[in-house]
Amino acid sequence: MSVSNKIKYFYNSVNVGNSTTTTKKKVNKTNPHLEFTIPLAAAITLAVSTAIVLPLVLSKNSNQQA
Amino acid sequence: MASVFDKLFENAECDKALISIANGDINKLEVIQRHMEHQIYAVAHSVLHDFSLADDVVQETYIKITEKAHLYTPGTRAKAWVLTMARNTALDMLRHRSFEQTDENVTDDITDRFDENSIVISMQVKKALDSLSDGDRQVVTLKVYAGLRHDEIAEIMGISTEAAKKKYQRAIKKMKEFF
Repeated sequence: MSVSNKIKYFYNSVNVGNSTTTTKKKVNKTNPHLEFTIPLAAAITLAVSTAIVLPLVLSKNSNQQA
Repeated sequence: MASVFDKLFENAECDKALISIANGDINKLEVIQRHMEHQIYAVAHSVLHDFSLADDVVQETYIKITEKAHLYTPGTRAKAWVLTMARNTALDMLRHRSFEQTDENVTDDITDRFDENSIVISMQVKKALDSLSDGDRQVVTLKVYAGLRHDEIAEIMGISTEAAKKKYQRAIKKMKEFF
């Protein structure tokens, strides 16, 4: 058998697999730092908002009472 | 062995299929699969050296064909267009491999890929292909298995036609040492 025919035989014979059932899986790991950073950012935002808004609300209420 | 007529027919069928896919008929992907699955696989394997990764490239190439069929110019080299996409997908995978976990139970053993009758010749051929440089291996696969001309191979690989011919001749000469 010639080299060319052997190459054809090789690739004709291979069982092409289904990538959903075989092999190494590419795992998209989330950045582990984000799991901590997002809730922290939300907490900081809430704290800052509260620190800014609450005095304004209290001030408005006390003016109304006056 | 595929005749010139067979190659022209195959190209014409793939051309029609790509036009249909571009017009939204995803079912015509089956035509590409029927004519070219093993060729796409062969090109991917020639780049990646890995049966399992080549499986992935085949599936990703089908997805890319459905997304980019509208970029294909009807009446041109349909097979070369598909194989260019397969090669680029394989090269992307090679460059950006981001394996974070491997399945330890899965092996990429040649014996899992071939039946008993073909294992001996297949092992010989694999050893011979593995001995080639990346470029030579891709050229010989595109020429022998995909049936492309040297100028088509040159265009896909971004080299001159003369360089493609030399790579092919060098590859065949080296592979003969294994048989």
